[in-house]
Amino acid sequence: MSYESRLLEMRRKLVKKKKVQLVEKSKPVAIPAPPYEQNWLRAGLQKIENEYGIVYLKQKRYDLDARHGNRTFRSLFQALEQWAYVEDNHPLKSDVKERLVFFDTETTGLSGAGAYIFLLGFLEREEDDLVLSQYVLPSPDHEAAFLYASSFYERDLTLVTYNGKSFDVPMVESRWTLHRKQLPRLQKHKHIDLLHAARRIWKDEQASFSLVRMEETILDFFREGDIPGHLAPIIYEDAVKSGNPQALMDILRHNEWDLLSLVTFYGEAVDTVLRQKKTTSTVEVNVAKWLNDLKLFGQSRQQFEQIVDTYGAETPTAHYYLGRLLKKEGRPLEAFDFFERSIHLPNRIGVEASIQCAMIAEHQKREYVLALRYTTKAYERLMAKETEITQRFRENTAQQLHARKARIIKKLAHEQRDKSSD
Amino acid sequence: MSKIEQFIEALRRDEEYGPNIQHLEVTEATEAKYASFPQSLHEDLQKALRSKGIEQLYTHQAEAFNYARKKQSFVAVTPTASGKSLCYHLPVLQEILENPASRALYLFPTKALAQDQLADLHDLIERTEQSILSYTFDGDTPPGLRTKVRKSGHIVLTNPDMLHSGLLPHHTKWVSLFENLKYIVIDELHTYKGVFGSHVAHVLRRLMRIARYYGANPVVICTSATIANPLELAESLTNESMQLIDRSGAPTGRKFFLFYNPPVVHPTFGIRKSAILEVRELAKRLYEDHIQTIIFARSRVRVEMITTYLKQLTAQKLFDSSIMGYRGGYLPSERRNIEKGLRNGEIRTVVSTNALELGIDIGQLDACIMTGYPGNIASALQQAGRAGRRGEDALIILVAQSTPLDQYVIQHPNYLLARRPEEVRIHPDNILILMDHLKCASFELPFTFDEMYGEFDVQYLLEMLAEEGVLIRTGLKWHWMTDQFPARDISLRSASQENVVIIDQSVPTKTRVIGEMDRFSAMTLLHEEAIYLHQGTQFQVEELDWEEKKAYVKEVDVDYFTDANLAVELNRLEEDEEMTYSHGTAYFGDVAVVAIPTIFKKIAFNDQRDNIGSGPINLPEESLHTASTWYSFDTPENWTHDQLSDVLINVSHALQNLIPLLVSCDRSDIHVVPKVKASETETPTIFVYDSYPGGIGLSEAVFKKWPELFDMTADHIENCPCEIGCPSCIGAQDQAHSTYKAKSVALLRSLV
Repeated sequence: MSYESRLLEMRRKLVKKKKVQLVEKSKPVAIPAPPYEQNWLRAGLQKIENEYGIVYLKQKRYDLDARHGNRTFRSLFQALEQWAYVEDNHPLKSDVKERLVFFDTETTGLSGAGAYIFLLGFLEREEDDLVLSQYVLPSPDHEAAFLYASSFYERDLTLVTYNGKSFDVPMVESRWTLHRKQLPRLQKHKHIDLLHAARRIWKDEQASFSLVRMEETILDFFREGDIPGHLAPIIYEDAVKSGNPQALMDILRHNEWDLLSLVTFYGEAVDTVLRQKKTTSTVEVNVAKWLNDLKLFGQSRQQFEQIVDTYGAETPTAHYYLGRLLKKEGRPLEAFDFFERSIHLPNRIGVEASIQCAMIAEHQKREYVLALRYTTKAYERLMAKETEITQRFRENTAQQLHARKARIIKKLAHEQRDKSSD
Repeated sequence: MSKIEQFIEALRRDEEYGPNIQHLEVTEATEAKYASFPQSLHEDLQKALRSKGIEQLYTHQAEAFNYARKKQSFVAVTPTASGKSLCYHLPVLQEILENPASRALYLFPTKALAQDQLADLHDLIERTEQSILSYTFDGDTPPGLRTKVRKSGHIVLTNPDMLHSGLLPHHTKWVSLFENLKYIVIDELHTYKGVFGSHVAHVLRRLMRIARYYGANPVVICTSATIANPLELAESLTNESMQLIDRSGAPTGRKFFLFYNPPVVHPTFGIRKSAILEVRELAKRLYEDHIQTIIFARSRVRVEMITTYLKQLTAQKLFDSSIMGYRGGYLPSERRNIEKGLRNGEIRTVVSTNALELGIDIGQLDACIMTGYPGNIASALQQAGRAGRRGEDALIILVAQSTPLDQYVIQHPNYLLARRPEEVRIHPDNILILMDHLKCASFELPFTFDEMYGEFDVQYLLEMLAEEGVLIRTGLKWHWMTDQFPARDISLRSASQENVVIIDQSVPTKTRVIGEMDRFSAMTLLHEEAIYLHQGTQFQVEELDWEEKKAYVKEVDVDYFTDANLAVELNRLEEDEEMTYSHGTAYFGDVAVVAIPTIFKKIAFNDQRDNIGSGPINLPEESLHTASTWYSFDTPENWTHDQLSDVLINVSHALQNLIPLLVSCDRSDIHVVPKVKASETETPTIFVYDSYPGGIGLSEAVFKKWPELFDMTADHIENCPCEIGCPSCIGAQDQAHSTYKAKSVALLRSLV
């Protein structure tokens, strides 16, 4: 019988009542442990009690000198210590004094109040060890105790996550809201989201930014027998319904790999930003451009100069940014040559570079014929079909270019009249 | 004599047009009833009102304010242009001025309406010179603004769809709204009917459940156009107890209501001259007499046709904008321009789709023409309400089309004028709809083992959801335990997931959805090769993809229509109620309907109704379990089986067309099926059943109104000017059955 016909049969049983307001709030009673508790504990979980009830925990220690993929865990902390000597405020940087907590969750859904977090995974350094703590939700009834175990109500944590800014942390906030009357206040923590870093550093180098892909292409780490994360909801559901935690333990393993990779991936990212690693010109340009966007202009210019020295004409984009930085430093005539070398790019940079040349020719060099030539060039590039730009940019820039052209022609006419009257 | 009286006088004397005036009704002006500002009304609000030139309130506004202050939910039924929005703005703003932490949620049936009302609200807030933040929250709200709306919007204006899928499932992000929710405002209550209304009733139950979870106990304010049962509708929509405010204090001018019936051009089929042509003529005369007019037409195409024609009047003048078309989807700024043009007299005629019928405000005009009856009294009164400036005469003209509904209304002016509007029915008890929203509610907050959902005891349904695998029962609660996001799969607007979507592919690059139809009606109206009439345009169905529930149609211009035969088997499952009359018995209960389409015929539009072709329909049988009312009676004496069979079909045709006059619904929301011998009782029976599985309360309403329905239908057939029956009454007949019209009337009269 179909769902619909079953329902329609049930319709007769529908009972309506006048409003009964349940006034008395049941006072907090000890929430009973789930019936399958012994099964789960036998599978390697440990029962923790706190003032809000019970939660299960799996803990494991790693030697800081152990390797994960192509590097050791310790190498991250070494890189961070070195970086501490440099005066900058790069978002990837974390103070060695801060409590660095690698964090990843597994959930029963992607969003909304009906999606539960059932696994809170943490990885933290303790002296020469890395300590993995995975808190497991015993059943949805035990959420308050589970959330409390996270210690997110404490201050001064620095979270390191992969996509945690748009997923894990809002998820914690949402769940916390439902227990906000009992739990201590949830704190805002400093947060380094390595997905953002990955997108900046490896832009145009990677087809996707999934953590597994990062592991395989950057960390040389290959998982064996991993359970894909998207099966997590079904697995938790099944573990609660059947009481059998076998597959759930595989999800813990998945989460553990995620957390371990965060450490070494963070190390790779820091090394790349600090140019401690051999990499491609694209990545180097990305890194230098990131510094530029962070307004670390000095560092950015140095890096672009080194890129231009190393790769020469291979990196027209770097030439363009170097031009921008030189212009900003009040060195337009030097900047001109760098812009010149990027105007052939069939994208927005090509157009912008031509405009920059035209501007410098007009205002600093005062060579109006030259200015006119670059304006025309910019216009051609702008209108060429193969140029990769948005329609909006095309329309706006075309207008500006018309105005610029008209002004330069006026100046040319003035100049000629002045010359002839001399 | 006023301009309008002169116009009417001239029309009356006109040899060609005068005779088409079916009826003229004059209602005299009424005085305004004022109440002074309530003493507790915040001084900033008093200041704001005075700056708008308002020195006192209408009585209904004061009444509303007082109820709201007493934390009493209410529904206010007020005519167009009676200042209904102050019924809710005043108490809401008062609350926020007194306590800036307070929040209110405004619900409008559409996104456009919410955006329109925001401008009005902003104006009032600005005049208070206080900082009160109000925002619309819908699909257009930029992501960057959303956090601000959630955290600090005092008043959030949204629509039920957004509430259902964008707000309630994410309630943890809206803590500051829910914890401080003092008012919920439901504007245009009367639009929440049928399946949509039943869905919204559940969205509101979910809203109240979450508000209470966060400790709020909001007052609900509804406003509605005139319907028969505002209090009942408001209470069943919100599941809250309500008070009714239905005496408007706003003044009305003298109104001339003119019923205009275009002349019959085709007596056999009862076809009259096109309403559009007549509207053009009337509008032209009004334009020439400098009477500012709004013309309502049902579709965009008609608006375009009328506008284009009227613009010929001004074709000689450059840059003339005295005639404007108006359709849905205009931006508030464009609307302001039209409003301005109307105020300063630059615009003399506006042609509009029904978009303006809902609360969207462009001010008042002298006259209003309705091209066809808008389908229900609430709409007709709202459109009529557009005409009438303070203290001046107003003219309302209803121009009838040839359809049965229009013809009934035009020939029975009292139906409209007596203002016994239809009931608006919703049916939150429909188990399919209830179950959809029970899922959403479970997703939003887990149910405990003693919790009710609205007025429903749902524990056994939660058990069923657990069996379905979406919930788990733990020690304390029913928890949602799957990665589905239920609100995403549940649409408030479509009658059922099983509806057939009609796709127009006349222009291959611009295919568009022009409507949808329940699968039962689709079997006879959307089979391949069927001619489907959509707002007066003929389409041919090129392909019916029954698996995917899609009908692909193409515009055509042919001189025939199609008529399909459907073999329907009806089984009575349960009888819940019965009511005995002297010549028959009415029942209400459940039926199982099994329908199999058989063949279709192509019938020419000529006098002989020649059958010019036919074909089989190859579709699987469909079954439907739904609510039904049926009326059984003894076989009348001296009728042959065949006669009775034919006449019952005729009578059913007429009944189906007139039911929407008693119960607010579309013609396709119900089905009427006659049986000469119903299987069990062996007596002739007429069945009326809801198109939607499980029923949405329509047949339940008809159950109580059989005598009225028979009476109305008999009158209508009798008064129809056709000779032997036409599509406006009992369906077109051939000469062999020339007595059926009279027999239909006789049968209907003998039933009660």
